[in-house]
Amino acid sequence: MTKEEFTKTGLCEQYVLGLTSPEESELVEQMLVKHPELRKDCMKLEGCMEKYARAHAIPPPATLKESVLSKVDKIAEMERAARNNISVPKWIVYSAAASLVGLLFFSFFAWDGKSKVENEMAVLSTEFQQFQKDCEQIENDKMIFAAQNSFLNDSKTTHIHLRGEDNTLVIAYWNENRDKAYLKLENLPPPPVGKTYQIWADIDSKMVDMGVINYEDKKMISIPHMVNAASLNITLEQEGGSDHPDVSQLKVSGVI
Amino acid sequence: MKFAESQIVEMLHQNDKQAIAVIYDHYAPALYGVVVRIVQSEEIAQDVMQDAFVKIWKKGTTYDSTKGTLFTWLLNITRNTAIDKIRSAGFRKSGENQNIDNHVHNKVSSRGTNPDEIGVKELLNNLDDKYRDIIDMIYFRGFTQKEVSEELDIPLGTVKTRLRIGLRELRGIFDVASVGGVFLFFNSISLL
Repeated sequence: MTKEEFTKTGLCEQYVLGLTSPEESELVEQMLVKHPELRKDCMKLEGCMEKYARAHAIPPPATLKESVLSKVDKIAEMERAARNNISVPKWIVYSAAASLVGLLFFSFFAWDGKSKVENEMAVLSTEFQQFQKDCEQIENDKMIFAAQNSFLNDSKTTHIHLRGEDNTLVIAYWNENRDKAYLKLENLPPPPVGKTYQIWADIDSKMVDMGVINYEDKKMISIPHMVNAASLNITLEQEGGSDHPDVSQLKVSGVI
Repeated sequence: MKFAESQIVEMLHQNDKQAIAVIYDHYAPALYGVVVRIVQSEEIAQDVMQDAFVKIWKKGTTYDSTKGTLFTWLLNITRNTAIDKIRSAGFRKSGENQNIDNHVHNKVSSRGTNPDEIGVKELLNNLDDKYRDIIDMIYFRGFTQKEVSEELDIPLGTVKTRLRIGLRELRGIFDVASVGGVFLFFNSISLL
């Protein structure tokens, strides 16, 4: 914008009267720097308006000066106090705030971590107990297997086949030197509801009770050894067992 | 004690609190005249003056003498404070201009003005009312050109034109006044 163009806009007059927008003020200020004669002109106009204002001056009440000065004093004092209060402690306030945030984070993670660890502990503890139980069971089974193994491998152990109708077969492992024997149920069908299998030894032509058979246990079943037993017989009896065998319900039988 | 404008600016730039007292002594009546005309109440005008001087104190270091005279800067701060005050308080500017101007003029004459400025005031009577009204509404009352246009019911372009011509006229009047002052000065010397 040339000097002449600028003069025509009337921006100088508006600038002096405080009517220009911030953008317009900036333009005016640039022009005033670029063209000293414009600046001189503008300043003269400002001087003019100052005189105009002075011509319309109103003397303020005498007390106003004191009020103005004490208010400025008060504000200056407050600002200084605020600056002093804020400048140094600001650093502390920020670091304290940061520490607090950090602590909260740490606490949260620690707490979160703790509860996670506690949960893991509980799970591990349960698993460990189960593991112990399993171990005991395995140990137990192992002892049983070892006993069975030693029994079965004993050269004195004999296999007695107890047979019944429809090729039903139960095998008894028998050893005269031992106080126990084993039964393997093979293809003996499950007992009807309310009934149970019971095993008897024939000693001197008398049926001696050797106990009821737990059919659920499909592994080798341990039974007592009966000295002088001539044969082994399994009958179907009422649940709980009987004192005397129901020979009409003899399922399998084998001679020793 | 009189200070040159450059000295006052120096104090202001150094955040010297004495600047406020000096500025008050040099400019308060002219500023107060504007504030009273804008807020139309001497009581509120005194509040505005206090607020304005606090702003002047706070902004003092930012005053740039290449951008305008100190008085223009002071007046802009003070006028804006006054305008903010009447806008916040829900004041109405329109309506009773004439009464308020009379009220102000009465007040001024009852308290008296600077004798140096009496001659100037008389010369200002030479300024055509159509220019004076617009200059006064803007300079003393804080109106925008658009508000003047609405208030006086004349086109905005006319307001702008009259404002420019009015300021030129005003400048001519003050030029005459200063020549007159020199003339009076020489007259008084010749009498000795």
